[in-house]
Amino acid sequence: MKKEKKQKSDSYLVLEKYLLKNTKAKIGIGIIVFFTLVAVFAPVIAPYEATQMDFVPWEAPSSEHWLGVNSYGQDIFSQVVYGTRVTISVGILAGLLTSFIGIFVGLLAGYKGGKTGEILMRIVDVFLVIPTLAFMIILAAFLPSMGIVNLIIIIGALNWLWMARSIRSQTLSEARREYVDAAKAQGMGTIEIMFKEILPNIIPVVTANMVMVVTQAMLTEATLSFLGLGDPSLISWGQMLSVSFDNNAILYNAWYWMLPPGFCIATLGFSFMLIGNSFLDIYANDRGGAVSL
Amino acid sequence: MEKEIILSVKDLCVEYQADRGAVHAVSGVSFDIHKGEFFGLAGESGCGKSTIAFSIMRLLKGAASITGGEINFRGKNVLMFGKEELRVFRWEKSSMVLQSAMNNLNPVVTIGSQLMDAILAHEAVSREEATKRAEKLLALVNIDSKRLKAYPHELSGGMRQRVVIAMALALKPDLVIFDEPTTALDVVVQYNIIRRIIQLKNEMGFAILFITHDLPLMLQMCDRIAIMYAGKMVEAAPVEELMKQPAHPYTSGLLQSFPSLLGPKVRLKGIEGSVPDLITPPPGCLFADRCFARKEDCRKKVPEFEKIGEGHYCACLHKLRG
Amino acid sequence: MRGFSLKYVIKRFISAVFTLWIALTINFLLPRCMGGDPAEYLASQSAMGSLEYAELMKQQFGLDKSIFEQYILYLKELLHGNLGVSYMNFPTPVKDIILEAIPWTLLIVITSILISFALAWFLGTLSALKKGSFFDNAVVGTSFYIQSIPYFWVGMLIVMAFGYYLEWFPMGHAQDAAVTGGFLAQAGDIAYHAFLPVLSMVIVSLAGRMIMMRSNILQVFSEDYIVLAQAKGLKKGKILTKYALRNALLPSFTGLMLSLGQAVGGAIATELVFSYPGIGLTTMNAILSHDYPLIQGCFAIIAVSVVTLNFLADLIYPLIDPRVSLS
Repeated sequence: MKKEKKQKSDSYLVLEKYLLKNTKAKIGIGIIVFFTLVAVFAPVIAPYEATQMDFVPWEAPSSEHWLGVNSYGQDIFSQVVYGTRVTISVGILAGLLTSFIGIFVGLLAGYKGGKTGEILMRIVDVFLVIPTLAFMIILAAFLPSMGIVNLIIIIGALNWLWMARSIRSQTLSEARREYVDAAKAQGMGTIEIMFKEILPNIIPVVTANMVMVVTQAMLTEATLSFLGLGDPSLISWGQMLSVSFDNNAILYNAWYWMLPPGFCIATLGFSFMLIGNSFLDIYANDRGGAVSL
Repeated sequence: MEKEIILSVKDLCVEYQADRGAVHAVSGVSFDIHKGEFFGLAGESGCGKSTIAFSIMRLLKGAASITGGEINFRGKNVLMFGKEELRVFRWEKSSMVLQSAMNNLNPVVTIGSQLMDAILAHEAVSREEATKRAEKLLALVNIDSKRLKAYPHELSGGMRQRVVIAMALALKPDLVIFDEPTTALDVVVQYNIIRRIIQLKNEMGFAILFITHDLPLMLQMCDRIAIMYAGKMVEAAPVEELMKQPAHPYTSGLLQSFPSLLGPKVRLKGIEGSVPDLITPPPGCLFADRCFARKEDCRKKVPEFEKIGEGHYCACLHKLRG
Repeated sequence: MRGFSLKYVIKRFISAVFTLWIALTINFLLPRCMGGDPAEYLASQSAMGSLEYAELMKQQFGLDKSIFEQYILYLKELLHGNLGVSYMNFPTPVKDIILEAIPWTLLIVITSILISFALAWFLGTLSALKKGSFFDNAVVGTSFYIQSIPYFWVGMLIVMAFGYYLEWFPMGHAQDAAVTGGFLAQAGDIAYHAFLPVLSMVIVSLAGRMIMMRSNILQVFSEDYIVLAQAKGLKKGKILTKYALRNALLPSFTGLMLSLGQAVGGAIATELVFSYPGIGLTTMNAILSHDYPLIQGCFAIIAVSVVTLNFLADLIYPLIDPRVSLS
C-alpha cells in the first residue's frame, strides 16, 4: 500500500491548495475570526449592557453612542456586539445539525442507489417543492414557545434538502471509482465505505456545503426573528431589525438602527459563502468539470 | 506519383500555460498531406496529436497558444487568416470529426437542423435545397432520410458518429480531420464506420488526417503514418515501409507491443517507463530514458528529423536502419 | 413541436398530487402534535367566554371523533374548498380571506421571478462571455454579497430610499383607494404599488440565478458540440443562441421550478415590509391573533399554489428539452 507513505504530504498539499494558497478562503476566515472574537469578548468591547435602557431614545450616533440609541433608549452598538453571539451560535449549531442530516442522507442516497436512494431522493424532492420558510413559520406558530433551542432545531432540521442533493450527486460519481470497488472487495460494510472511503474523497464538497448552510441558517434566523417568530428575549441581529421595523425606524430616519445589523448579517454570511465557493471552484478544477450545488 | 500538397505544417510549436510554467505540448512538428491521401498520426495520449488537429482548425482555447511555425493550406498560412477567411476555411476547406460520439451534436436541436446549419452558413441556398442536401448526406452514411427530424439522443452512438461524418462532408472539403472518431464505439461499429470512411474518401477524393492511439487500426488503412512522442514527431513513413523497416526505436517498440495484427488488440502501453516532463524537458532525445538502443550521446544531443528514404523521415541519433 | 407523452403528464400529475397530499397532511398534523391538543385550546377559548368559538372548533376539527376520522373529514372539507371560518374576522370563511390575498402574492412572485430570470440570463451570459474581466468579477462579487442579504432587509432599505427619502413610490399597500377611474388607471396604480416589493425581490433572487446561469454557460462552452459548431464556421451569434444558450437555459429552467417555493418564502417577509395585502401578510396577521384556521388555510393555499405552478412548469419543460418526453 503506497498510499500510507504518501498520506502526510498529500494532506499537506490539500491544505496548501484549499487554504494557504486560497485568497478567497483566507478573506472569509479572516472575517469569521473577527466576528468570533467580537462574540467572545462582547462584554469587553460593548460599552454598555445590551438591555440597559438608560439613554435618550432616538439619539443619532455620537461619540458616546457610536451607533446611536434605539426607541427604548438602548445603546445600538452594544446590541450589535452582543447580537454577534446569538447569530453566530444559531448559525453554526443549526448548520451543524443540517450538515449531519444532509451528509448522511446524501451519502446514503448516492452510494446505496437503487430503491433506498430512489425513495430518499423522492422524499427530498417532495419537500423541496414545499416552501421551507412557510413550513417553518407554521411550525413556529404552533409551537407553544420559541426558545433558542427550538429555533436551532427548526432551522437545522429543515434546511438539509439542497445539501443532501449536492452530496448525493457527488457521491454518485464517486461511487463508480476504483477505490470503492477495492473497498467492497475487502469486505467493508456500507456505512464503513460511505464514511471511511467516500466521505474523505469528497471532503471539499462537504465542507463547502457545511459552510454555506451556516449562511443559510443565519439568514433563516434573521427572517424568522424579523417575522416575530424568534425568541424575543434574545438579542440577535435579526431581532434588532425586527424591533427597529416594528418601531417605525424608517419614519424616524433611524438608519443607524437598521443598517449595522443588516451589514453584519450580510458580511458574515458572505464570508462563509466565499469559503464554500472557493472550495467548490478548486474541487471542480481538479475534477475537470463543474460541481452542482 | 507526386500529388499536390494540400496541407503543409512547418515547425509547429504549441504551448499550454500551466500553474508551474509553459507545457511544450507540440514542439517543432512538420509534415505534409497530399491530395486524397490517408495520413495517420499516432502516439500515446498526451503526445500532442489532438493539439495539432485543433491547431490546424485554429480551435485552440484558453491556456493553449501557437508559439511558432506555419500551417499552410494550399500555400496560404492558416495562422494569418482573418476572421472571414477563417470562417470560410473552416468546414469548406477543412472539416473535422471529434472523439466523443455523445457530445459532438447539440442535444436540443434535430440532426437535420445541425446538418443544414453547416450548409446554410457557407452557401446561399434555400432551406428546401439545404434539406435535400441534408437528406443526401444522411444517405451517404446509410441513415434513413426520415431521421432528419430525430434528436441526437434518439440515435445510437454509432449513428450519431455517422451523422457527424456526413456533416463533415457537407461542403466537400479537401481535408477531413478525424480525431479518434471511433474510440467510444464498440469494435464492430468501429469497423463499419471506418470502412465507410474509406469508401467515401475514394469516391469523393478528400484527404484524411486520422488521429488515433490505435496503431493496428491505422496500419490497416493509412497511406502514410507519422509517429509522435512527447510533442515531437519521431518518425514518418509510408505504411509498408514503416511496418517492415521501422527506423526509430520507439516505432519498433510500438510495433512489437502488438503480438499480431490479427491477434487481440493492445493499446500503446508496451514500452517501459513514462513520458518526460514537458515543462522542463530534459536535454537530448526525449525518448532516451525509455530507449533500448540508448547510447551516451542521446542525453546530450537533440536528434534532427531528417530524411532517410523516399518519404521516410526519422529523428534518432542511432537509427535502426539506413 | 414535439408532443409530450401522456405517460409523462400522468407521472408528473401523480407526483404533484403526492406532494400536495404530504403538505396537507403535515398541515393537518401540526396543530395536533404541537402546542398541546386542540381540545385544551378549545377550553381556553371557551373560558374566554366565547362559546360560539368552541362550537365552531368542535365542528371544524370534529374533535369528538377519532384522529383518523378527523383526518378524513379534513381532507373531505378541503376537497370542497372549505377551509373553515376565521376567528379574527368572525364569521368570514377562511376561503374568502385567502382568495382575496392570493392574487396579490402571485402578482409579485410571478412578476419578480420573470424579471429576475430575464436579467439573470442576460447578465449571466454577458459575464460568462467576458469571463475574467473587470465586469465579470464585479458582477460575480456583488452577487455573492447580495446572496447573503436577507430579503426583508433589502425591502427595508428600498422603502427607506425610494419611499421615505425620495418619495418616488408608496411605502406600502397594494392600491390607493382614492384611485378610481378606468381599468388603466387602476392597473397603473397597482403596478406603481407593486414596483418596490418586486424590485426588492428581484435584487435578492437575481444574484443566485445570475451566478448559476454564468456557470451553466461556461460549462456548455466546454462541450464538444460548441467546438464543432465553431469548426463548422457558423457565425458567432448563431453559436451563442442556437448551440450555447439553449443548452445553458435548460438547467436554469429546472432551477426555476425549484425556486418557486423559495420565492414564496421570500414574499412573506417582503409583504410584511411593504404591508402588501398578500398571503404572507395574512399569515403573519393570523399568527399574531392566533387565528389557527386561517394559519392552516394559508399554508394549504401556499402549498397548492406552489405545487400547481410546479406542475405547469413540468408540462412546459418537455417543449423546450426534447430529451425529456421520452426518458
